[in-house]
Amino acid sequence: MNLRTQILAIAILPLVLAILAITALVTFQSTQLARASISTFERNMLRAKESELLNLTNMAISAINEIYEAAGPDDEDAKRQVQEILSSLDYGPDGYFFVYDYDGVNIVHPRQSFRHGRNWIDMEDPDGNRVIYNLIERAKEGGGLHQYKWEKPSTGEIADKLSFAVGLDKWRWMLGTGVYLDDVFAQTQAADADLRSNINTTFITVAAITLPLVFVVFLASFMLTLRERRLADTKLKELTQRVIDTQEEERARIARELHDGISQSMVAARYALDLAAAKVRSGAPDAPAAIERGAKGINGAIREVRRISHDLRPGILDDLGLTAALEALTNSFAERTGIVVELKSVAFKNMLLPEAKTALYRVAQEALTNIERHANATHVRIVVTSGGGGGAQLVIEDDGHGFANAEAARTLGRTHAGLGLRNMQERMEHFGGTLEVKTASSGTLLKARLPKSAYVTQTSEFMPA
Amino acid sequence: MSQPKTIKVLICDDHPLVLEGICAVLETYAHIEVVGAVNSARAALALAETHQPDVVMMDINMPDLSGLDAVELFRERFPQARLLMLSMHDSREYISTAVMYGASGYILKDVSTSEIIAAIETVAANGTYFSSGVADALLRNGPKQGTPMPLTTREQSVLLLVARGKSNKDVAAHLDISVRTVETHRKNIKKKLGIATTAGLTRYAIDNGLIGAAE
Repeated sequence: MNLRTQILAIAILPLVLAILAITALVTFQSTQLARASISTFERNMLRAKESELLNLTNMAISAINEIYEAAGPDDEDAKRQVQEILSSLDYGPDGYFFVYDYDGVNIVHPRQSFRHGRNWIDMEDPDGNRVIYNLIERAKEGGGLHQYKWEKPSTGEIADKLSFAVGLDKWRWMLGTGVYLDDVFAQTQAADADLRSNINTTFITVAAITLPLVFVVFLASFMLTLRERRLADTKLKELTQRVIDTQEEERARIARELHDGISQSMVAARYALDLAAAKVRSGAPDAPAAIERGAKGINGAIREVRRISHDLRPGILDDLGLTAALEALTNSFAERTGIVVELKSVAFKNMLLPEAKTALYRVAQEALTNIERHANATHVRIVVTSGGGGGAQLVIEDDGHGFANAEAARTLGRTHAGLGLRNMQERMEHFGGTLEVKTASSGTLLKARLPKSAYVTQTSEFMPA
Repeated sequence: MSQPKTIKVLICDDHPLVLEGICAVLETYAHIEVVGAVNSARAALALAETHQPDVVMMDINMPDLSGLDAVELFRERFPQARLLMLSMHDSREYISTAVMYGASGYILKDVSTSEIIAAIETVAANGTYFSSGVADALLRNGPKQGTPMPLTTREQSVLLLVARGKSNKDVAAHLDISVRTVETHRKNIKKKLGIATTAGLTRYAIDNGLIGAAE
């Protein structure tokens, strides 16, 4: 797993986890709420059914009350009248009154006439509930509710039923009526189904939000990666081109110098020697002069080579160290430009790594080139210090007019043929050092610092003996 | 200009063609005897043991041991031998450094044969010789102010050991030189840096990062 994937995972994982946690919490809470309201609804419905049953029972009692009160315990005539009244009392397809005696024998059942005259005391519903026995018990207790399962007349299916039973003690009768609860349960079931579909909807919504979000994060990071890579590619290309350009310029310069300087001197020497050979052959007396001219041409070529080689890589830096190389550099600079250079350096040598030494030298060289071209200075001060804790420091100060305006700074940084400030900085940064430039209309101060790590480990073996 | 006594010359240059050329030139002179022509400073030091040359012609740029460091070693071991630098470098810093290290003369490789002979004869007679181009370079720039006189490689080694608390005797044993030579180096170091005491030298070495303070 590479770093990019890791970062992506770190970005996406918490997002997904947070969304999941929130979804779970919301779902849990809304389920709780819905369940609570469903059970409240159920309870209220049942209570409404109970009071309805009570009312119906009161109505039936009042319908038969006059006859019942007037009749004796064995008044068969009165009993028949009451049976007829209760059979005819009716409210809706499943609303009716039933009567059993205390032994369980059915006396009135307007919907299921097959029950009439038979004893049902031991009848059980599918749950093992002794329905008639329990109802009779409620009646004996002075009236009460009982819930059980019963065949619903209108549909012929077994359904939950809630009944209220009262006793007509004089005749040892139990009078009851009941309501079917399947509509109540159907409603709570519908509410439950609603709840489930709500949860499903929530999940789908969350997914619909999350997936595009994750996709967006993916896409964004992908685009970022792509852009970064493209930027890096462009930078690399620029850098490569810069290196190639510099190399080509350098080669062109060396080729020109070889051709214009050394080649010409050598050609001249060759002509002179050819001439000398001819003179020797013909016995002319002035052959030595021609030979000397040839030797002079060769000496010119030697000087040219020495100069070019010095320009390419100052051997003095390797042979005599930074201080001597800076001295040589400032001497030729002062001679060429007439600018007074003051150099203050250290008495030691071989303290910096060769590459670090070269870097400092090139920084000084570049700074002097800039001063010569742009600063219009009369005095330059170069100070090299080597501190116990702080590493090496090269300070170059001039009294020119600086390069405060952006134009000059840009010119210094990029276009002109030398290394530029940016390259000086890169050279210092390579060794963990810094380059600091302060410029004002009264002069420029350039400070290049190298850390202790750019030093060679000191041993006493400077010179193998 | 002929001399009654033969001058024994040892030549040290890592370019075989240059070595050959100079030998060929010198062999035509009767009063000069080439006792050795070698391509490294170490070989030159070894050969000097047996031949005791009067003049050593030394190139500066050589792999392994540089010509300048070799000059210092020659001055320590063979004080009677005169050192004549033979170089392509005409800058003042090379020349003054060579003199500081103990060279008696400095000629450029592109000088004429007669000048080479003149240089050998001059240094052999305890004189100093600088070829025309070199003398120009020396005259072009006056001595620098501000920068202390740079230490030679040997002096820097001695300072490092002294700053680490070594006695003259230890230093002498460590560098395989005599105690007197060490004393001379110490004197020169103090003069160059303008410091009078050993503690001052140690302080200077620490302040300038030659050794760490923790050492």
